[in-house]
Amino acid sequence: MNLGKIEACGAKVRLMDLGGQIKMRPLWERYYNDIHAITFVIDVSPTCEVSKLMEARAFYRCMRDDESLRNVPILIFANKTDTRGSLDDYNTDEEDENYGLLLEDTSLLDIAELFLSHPKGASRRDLLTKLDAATDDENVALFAGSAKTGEGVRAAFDWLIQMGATRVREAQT
Amino acid sequence: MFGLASGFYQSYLIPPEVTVLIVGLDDSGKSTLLERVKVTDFNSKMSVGKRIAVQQIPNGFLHTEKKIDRKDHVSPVQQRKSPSKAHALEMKPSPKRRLFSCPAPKMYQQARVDSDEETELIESKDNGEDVISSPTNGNIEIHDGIIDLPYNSVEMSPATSPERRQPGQSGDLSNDGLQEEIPNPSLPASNHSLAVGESDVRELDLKAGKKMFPLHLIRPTSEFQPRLVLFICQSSLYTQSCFSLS
Repeated sequence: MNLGKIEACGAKVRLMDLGGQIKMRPLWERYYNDIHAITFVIDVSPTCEVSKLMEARAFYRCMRDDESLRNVPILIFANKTDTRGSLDDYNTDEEDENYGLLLEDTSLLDIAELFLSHPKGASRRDLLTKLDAATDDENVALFAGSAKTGEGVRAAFDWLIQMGATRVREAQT
Repeated sequence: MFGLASGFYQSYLIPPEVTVLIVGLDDSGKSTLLERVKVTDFNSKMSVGKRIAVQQIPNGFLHTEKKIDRKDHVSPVQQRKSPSKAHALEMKPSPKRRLFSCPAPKMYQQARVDSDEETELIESKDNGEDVISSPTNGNIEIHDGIIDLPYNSVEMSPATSPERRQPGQSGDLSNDGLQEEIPNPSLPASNHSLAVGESDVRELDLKAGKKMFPLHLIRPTSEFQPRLVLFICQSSLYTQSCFSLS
């Protein structure tokens, strides 16, 4: 677990980076009551397995539907976009059989649809019968970028911190 | 007494303390992101951010695209004869889809792509296997936003930049009667109407002062046929966007 403190957008921000291993994941819930914003990081590099993205989505859905996280802004950060489109750098021929289905050419919009297309409280049947039900939650946003190069990070956290600061001010008044 | 007043004043103006939790699966780059956020300067004005606009994607944008076949796009005249199809393409105004991205650093904006790579890419795109359906939304076929950005924005990666073709090339590479209209990136903003069809223009609501592009406009992927050509023109204060379905 790593901690960081910054000042941004007129607010003091404490960042808590929790572990992502399977054993650590149940511990996430313990922090839900003490936070004002959540960043959910997903890996969208071409060599990431699809099954891993689906796993991430399952965890995201659990988190999103958690009762203590009602009205908490959630930032989904699609990380490692700097590796997208440069498939030539990878020698996928060598160990092709060892990997599962890779993301490879899956577009970011597909990934975004996976995460955002089912808003809170809307079942799949609702979406099929009435497309208007697919209104996106205001508290959820997906940003793409790369933590390695810094692309997109500032825009994402600008949004998140402003949403979090608004939430804090509302709670104070 | 002065201390009391100043104490009230400072407690009133105290910055809010926001606690942000960073979670994610292992090896997704959480710690890297944290370190990046620590060194990111949030307090200065974003230099290129003011040139970027957010636009509202009409609801059903993704869902109506599946009804678009190549047959529907032979000519605008045929579309006028079939009002039902034209009605299917109509958009409703909707709440904003929150798919944002952000400009790349300078070093990425300067990068350029060899023309050989583009040609290979375009030829491989014509194999017909241009549709990937996402696991949960099998009915959504097309997510192909192609954009020309005549100003600072995210640099397209080598495999995702078919729109860099010159207009002379596009006629040679299109097949199946699919005439693609690739707007020249060097066109001035006032000439954008030349590049878009009459009945295919979709005006999107743009509000000046917003910051971000939708995600799919920034990084289109290579596996799709370029059926949707999006050309964003930009003046200093007013931003306008048109869809052109080729």
